[in-house]
Amino acid sequence: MAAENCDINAGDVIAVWGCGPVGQFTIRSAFMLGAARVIAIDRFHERLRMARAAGAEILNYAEVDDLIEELKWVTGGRGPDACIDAVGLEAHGSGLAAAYDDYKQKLKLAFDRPTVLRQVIQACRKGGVVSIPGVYGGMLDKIPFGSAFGKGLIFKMGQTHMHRYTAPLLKRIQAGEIDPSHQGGTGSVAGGRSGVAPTSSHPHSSTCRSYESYCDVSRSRWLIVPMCSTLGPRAQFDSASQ
Amino acid sequence: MKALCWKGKNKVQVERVDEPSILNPRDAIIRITRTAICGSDLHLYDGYIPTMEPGDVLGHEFMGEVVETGPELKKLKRGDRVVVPFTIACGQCYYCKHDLWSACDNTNPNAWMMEKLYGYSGSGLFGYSHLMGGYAGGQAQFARVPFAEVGCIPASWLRKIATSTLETL
Ligand SMILES: [Zn+2]
Ligand SMILES: [Zn+2]
Repeated sequence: MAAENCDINAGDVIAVWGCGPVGQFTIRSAFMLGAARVIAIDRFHERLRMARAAGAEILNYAEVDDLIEELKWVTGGRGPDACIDAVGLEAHGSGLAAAYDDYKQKLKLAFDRPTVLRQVIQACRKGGVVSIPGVYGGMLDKIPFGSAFGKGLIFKMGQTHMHRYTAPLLKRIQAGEIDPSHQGGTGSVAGGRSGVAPTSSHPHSSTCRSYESYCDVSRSRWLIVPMCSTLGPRAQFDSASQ
Repeated sequence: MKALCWKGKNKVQVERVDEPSILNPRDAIIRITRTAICGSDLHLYDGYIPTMEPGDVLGHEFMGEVVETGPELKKLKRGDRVVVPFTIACGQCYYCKHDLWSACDNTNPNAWMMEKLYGYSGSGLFGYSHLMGGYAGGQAQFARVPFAEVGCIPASWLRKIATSTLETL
């Protein structure tokens, strides 16, 4: 839906902020819908590597001085045709505005840290689309709405209409057009950790540890945190489904 | 049954809770075989989403096997394996009929709270605060799925891809 919302035309350049599972799928969907170039933005190398494997050009925002200028530079001065915020309300920003957001969120004056939202608005070309699959919950502060108005941006966002997409996506998976196993879970990605379930000898604590490790240890490197065996017997997909 | 419960900011715990039962004629009870922790679960974990209460069962991404069906379900049968969408939709309201499922008008019993904040309420979501309906989530052994035939992808779809794809999902 995030890519569909961009109304992609052949030749379009799409920029995607956030290369977690949502971002990874978005990158692949954008290509599938006809994007000529996808620029993937994150700061974690594992995630950027996966984005590059999908055909995206990568941009490590922690390594550039000015992300907006950089995007302008790589799009011949025009800016991306659509910018996708696949991050949402807990963005890790930097600089003064991010510190301000963090402070406000801690004081419960605001629920959201809209660093990425500000960037997508600034970076998008005139008349382009800002697509927001990242979740926002409350009131936003310091949003450059003048920029959005001045450039005549189109905003599309919202909770995914799951029921619209599950069947068509499964069809594409069956047809081999999408391979979700590439999105994480096994072996090669997720920071070199393999996608095995946590030990079942400590069933009560390992799910909680999954949260901790997802959150604290390598928050933005994990793509899928395995936790399946902690709550009950494993599914017998093979025997029961054939 | 065992379920992962939210206990407060940065605290979750696997606890014994009551098993769900059929409340409405179009409900199904699913025995969960696979579930995921989503990035948006971290917003709950980090305490940024209001109206969470200690003991709320987390999880909005799950799949499993139908173990019980409400009397008005016609297609879904015991033993069917299903993938459950995280948005709950009735299939009959204005929004569902217009393919805008996450805006369903009939699935958030706490719509009044959302209306105060947003003007109108979206659909209910599994395991995502009382603001979103207070539904018990899927990081548990069982879950009640309302309007189960509207959302669940039936078993026949899964057969061919079950082992290869769903194992890794
Ligand atoms: Zn999710
Ligand atoms: Zn509805």
